[in-house]
Amino acid sequence: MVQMGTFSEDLARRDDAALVALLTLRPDLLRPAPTTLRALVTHVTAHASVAQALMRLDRPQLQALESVSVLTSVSPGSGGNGTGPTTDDVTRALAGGAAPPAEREAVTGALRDLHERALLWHEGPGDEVWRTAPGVDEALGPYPAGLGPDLGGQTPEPPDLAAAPPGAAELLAALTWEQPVGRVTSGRHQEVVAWLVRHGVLVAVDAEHVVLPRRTGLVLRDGRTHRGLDGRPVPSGPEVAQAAVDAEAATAALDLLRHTALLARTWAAAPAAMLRSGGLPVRELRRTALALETDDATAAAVVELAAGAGLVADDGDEPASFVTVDLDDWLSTPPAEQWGRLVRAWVRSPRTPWAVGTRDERGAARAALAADLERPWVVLLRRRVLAVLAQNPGRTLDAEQVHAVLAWSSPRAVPPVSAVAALLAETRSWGVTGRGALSRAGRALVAELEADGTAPRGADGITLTAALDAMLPAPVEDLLLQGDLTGVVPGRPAAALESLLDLSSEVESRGAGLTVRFTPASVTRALDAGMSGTALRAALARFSPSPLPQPLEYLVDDVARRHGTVRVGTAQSYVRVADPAVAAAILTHRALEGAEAFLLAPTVVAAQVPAAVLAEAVRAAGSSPVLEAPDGHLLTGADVTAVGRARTRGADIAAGRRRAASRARSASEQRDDGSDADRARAVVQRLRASGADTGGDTTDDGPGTATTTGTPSAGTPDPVGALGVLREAAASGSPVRIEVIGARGLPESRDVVPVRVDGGRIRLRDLTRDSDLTVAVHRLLSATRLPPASETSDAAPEQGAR
Amino acid sequence: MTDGPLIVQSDKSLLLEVDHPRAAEARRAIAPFAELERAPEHMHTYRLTPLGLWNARAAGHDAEQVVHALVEHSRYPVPHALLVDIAETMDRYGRLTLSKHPTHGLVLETTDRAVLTEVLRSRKTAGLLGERIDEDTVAVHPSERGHLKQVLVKLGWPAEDLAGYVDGEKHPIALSPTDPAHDDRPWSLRPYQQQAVDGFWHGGSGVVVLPCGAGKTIVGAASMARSGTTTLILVTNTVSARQWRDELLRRTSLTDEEIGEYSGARKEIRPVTIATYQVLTTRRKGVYTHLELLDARDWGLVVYDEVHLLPAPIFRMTADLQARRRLGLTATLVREDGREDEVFSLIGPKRYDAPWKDIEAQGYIAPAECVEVRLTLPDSDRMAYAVAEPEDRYRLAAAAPGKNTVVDTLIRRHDGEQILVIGQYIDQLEELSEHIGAPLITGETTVRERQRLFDAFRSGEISRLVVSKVANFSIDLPEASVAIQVSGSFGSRQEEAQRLGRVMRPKADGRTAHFYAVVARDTVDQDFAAHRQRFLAEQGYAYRIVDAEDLSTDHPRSPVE
Repeated sequence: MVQMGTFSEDLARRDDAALVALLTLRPDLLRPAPTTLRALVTHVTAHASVAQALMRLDRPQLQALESVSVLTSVSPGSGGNGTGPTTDDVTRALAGGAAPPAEREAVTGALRDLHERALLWHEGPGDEVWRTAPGVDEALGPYPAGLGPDLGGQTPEPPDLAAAPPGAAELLAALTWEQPVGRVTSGRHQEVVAWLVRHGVLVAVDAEHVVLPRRTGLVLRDGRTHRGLDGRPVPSGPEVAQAAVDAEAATAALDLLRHTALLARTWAAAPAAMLRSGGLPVRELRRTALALETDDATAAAVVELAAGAGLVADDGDEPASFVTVDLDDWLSTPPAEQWGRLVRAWVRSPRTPWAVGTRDERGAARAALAADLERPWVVLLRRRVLAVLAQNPGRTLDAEQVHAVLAWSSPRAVPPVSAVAALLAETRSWGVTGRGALSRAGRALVAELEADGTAPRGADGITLTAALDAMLPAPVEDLLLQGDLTGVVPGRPAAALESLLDLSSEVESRGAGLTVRFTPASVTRALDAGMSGTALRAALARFSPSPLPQPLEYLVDDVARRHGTVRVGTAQSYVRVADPAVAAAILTHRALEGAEAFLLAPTVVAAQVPAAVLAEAVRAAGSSPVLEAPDGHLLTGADVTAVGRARTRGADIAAGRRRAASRARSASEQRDDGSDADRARAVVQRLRASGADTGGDTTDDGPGTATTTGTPSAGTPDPVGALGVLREAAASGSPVRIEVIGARGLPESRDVVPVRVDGGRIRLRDLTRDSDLTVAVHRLLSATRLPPASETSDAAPEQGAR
Repeated sequence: MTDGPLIVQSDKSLLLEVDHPRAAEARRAIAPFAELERAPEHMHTYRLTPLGLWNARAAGHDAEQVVHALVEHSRYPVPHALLVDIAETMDRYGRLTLSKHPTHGLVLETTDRAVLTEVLRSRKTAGLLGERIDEDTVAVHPSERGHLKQVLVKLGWPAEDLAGYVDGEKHPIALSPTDPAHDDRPWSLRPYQQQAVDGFWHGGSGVVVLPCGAGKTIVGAASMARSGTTTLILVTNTVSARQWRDELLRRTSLTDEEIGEYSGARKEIRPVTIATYQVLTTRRKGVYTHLELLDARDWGLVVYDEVHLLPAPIFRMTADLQARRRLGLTATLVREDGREDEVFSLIGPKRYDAPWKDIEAQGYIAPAECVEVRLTLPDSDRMAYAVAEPEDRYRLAAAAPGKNTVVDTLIRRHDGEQILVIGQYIDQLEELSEHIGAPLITGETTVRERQRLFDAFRSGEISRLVVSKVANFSIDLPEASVAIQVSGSFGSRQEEAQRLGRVMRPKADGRTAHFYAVVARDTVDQDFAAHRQRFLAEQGYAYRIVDAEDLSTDHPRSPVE
């Protein structure tokens, strides 16, 4: 008999580039990286890896794989030795005999891709026949392509339903294309079912269930494994002009920047407390939402975004709180760069802010910035969503449409629609999309992502910021001031104008333009910040094309006149005298030099030292002071010590900020993994270096060398390799000699044919004893392929105790 | 994007740049559906409200036109969400209609059963609707027509009123071509008055808003002539009634016998009857004794003077004349309780509105200068103010004695002109009246005495008059060119505007009118003043603020063009 090639041989035949491609397409094989080819085979055929690989296939690829699996199983002489389908067979079964060239191409391409992923293999170089790799058939499940189990036997004739009771055709049709298993419920179908079973069309599995066997199903399907090749869905949203998209996105982006700046300012002035578990309390979220003039959900999203970009961080203090890091640095960054920083961090962030406020399994509400909001799949899903958007420019896409495309591209790992919808909402809120389509800046972001593998992060930043700048409306420097104390900026205010208005007025209306109102309170705010009345008037006049209205000038002057007339300060102690001259004398005396004394009123001198110390100093200055309590009565000696105990306490916000800054820096430096391709190349080098390790023949002793002492045979392959050998043998049905630890703890050797390898157990058919046994994987020592059955020498007499 | 004059804000307000070359065109385009909210010097603010959009629908405009108007004139791209919102809001109009059923009378019909169910289920419509005639129709009590429309607007499902108008009893009225008060010289309607009448007539029912002094009475007379039916005119007080009567005699073909007065003093019901709101709403033992006036004749037109007073619950009774054409006239449709919308629902939407400055620019009302004189209270008064109870504070500030001196200075400055001094507190006014030697008119003054004094003022016999708030509305003093306000009803913007209106009648020599508000600095008087002045400032009448100390060096000016 011709020596059958093995799956390992197919793998060994591949060149370096093909192996790198395999490892890149199935990156789970890189962790942990295999050191030998044998180990690679084991990993590749492991159930977990195959399942992962299947999750990455798109619908046509999955269909092709199912097709190959099905056709192999029903081909004549199946059981590992049968011929599998050729590309033409698969094309015919998938897309029909009259498939257009585009579909044929698609099928051919899918098969080639599956081969690259080591899910299919050829027997030998140049072989036309496809085979499924070990483990694939199990991973595909019991009903690949919706066909029933293969019960062996000949290919049946198409059943003749002429004599069947009515309803047979419909029933069969349902079982043919939908699900192969049917459950007999009411009496209505029982007669039909019974007839069909009697005539061998259906097979009764148990009292209630019947199944349509695979071969019959195929015949009923006219040899087709699928109705047709599932093409990529094309979303059919309405077209939308790029200008409209950019306009909406620009508004959203500006809103984001405004919110972020407000957040930064709010938390710079009053840091937000942190929960002991590390999240943001609801109370603080509400306060922030109020400051941002928005709702809780938006505030949570902005907070997460800012944290991701390193703008706010944990200050590491006890008790911990969130502070703003480098407020001035942020505020001085131009808007486009601010946006770039935020959005780049967002794209790489694994956080799910839309879950804030929902309840977890224990019933507790999820807090923003808490650790449990991280979901590793978010990053990949976000990229995929952006990719779908990038592939459909100029169209409004909604969540369902994007979800349909995603479901097509990974049918075995369909993301939840709610997550897709939430991510789309995020893109809308940040200005990455507008009206459901990618904005210019969004497209630049996607391009940057795609180049990420080759270009260092940030190098292409110019394109992103330039795109956003192009989207934003031109800034306006005119402020139209009116007699009703309002001012209007007919467009987006320039940075200087915006900060001036922020400081000195209240915003009445936002939108394409800005309306503000000047009130006594708002002008006071400007004066509190250090501007003088004249400076404010001059600043406003700079931006106003017409002279300032008189009511506004008067208002500013009036407020300035009253400003600063009420003052608050700190003093630790005071000296009160009746005569201003005495006060002046005390103030200027040498003895009070270190007391930081100042004149509070003509007859009051205040100082920053405790009262007792001041009293001493005043005594030294020549007066004889008496101490008094706050209510005026005089204190005697005993009370004196209690007076003036300093209690200065205040959070050292600056120190906290410094700590937070360093923490933020390390947090925003993402875990920087080298790209998968590089790792793959390194692994392949190592594999080649470890030598071709195919076929697994390192036991030189030949078969049957078990010893009673229990020492394992020299040079046996490692258990990992043994599994690989067993899997292959199971797939091809070839005999293997295994060494297992027996019930008594001593190694035993057996000649077996593996039937199934899964879940930590191996089902074997013992050739010698002609019985089935199950062996746990951890008892397996080694496995060696046996030459084809005719050559096997029986090791049985050599077993047993010596 | 075009370089248009309109800027659309996210809070549904529209900013119109007045100096833009296409501003007039844009204004015409948005007028059907946007309300003019503010009209200062550079940017006029319009607002999109559901009511405004529904009125546009009622007038025959559809959402496409509105969207087109916005997009066409907007300087920046209009947010898509706003356009969708507009379309959705306008779509709500017309699902419900009020119409006349041959057998059941007034019925409410729907094209959308779900809407009708929602409306029926609401508590607010309880008692207004009658039996359910079929799945899509329900009867309406005829007297609740106006109330129902108002409630439906509040619920967000406005009803299209197709029930039509009762024509009323015919009674020919024509505008007289000559003016007997001016030597029978020919006169005609001013352009804006004609537009106002046209706007009202095409709309069926509604409100006309014109600044004080712009001739609202004439608009009323012209509408009556257009209608040519019996008319009921509702006014605020007897003096107004007399004035209306005089005006009608002067401007129309009506004779003395055709006009009747129905007030506290007289009860005449004639083809044209002028009644006061007060008399209609008097109750005796819980019964409205004079309500039968409403049914006395088949009125073809009902005119509501100073209609901004209407929403006060006591006045809603008169809005029940729903089957008749209703014309509301006012200068200021802004209320401190925010119930302006009720006027629209009860009478009808705004059919004509013009910025005050526009009419001033056309020369039909006098240019006016508004000045706030800020008086610093002496220390003793400030101390008293600081320790006073909150409810006494305004009175203490408003009635500060220092104000008398200021009034003196102002009167001296405008020597030779007709001056009105207006205030709130009778004792303050009595003191002032004595101080400057001018007669005082309060609520206690008899009607005859009032008329006598007005006539004397009009003829120039007396040049100064001190009036309390009875003179707020509807008195006609053509030659008052200076008004000095010493105190008012707290923060009422409407009162401020009405008082300014006292001096806005165009003067014979075209001189500028002056309005002074004397305010005590750093008190609630100042705060209220700021609020009161806001309305006028938004109309373009910005106040100039002068310290009382600087009054001697300051001089009156004409408003800068």
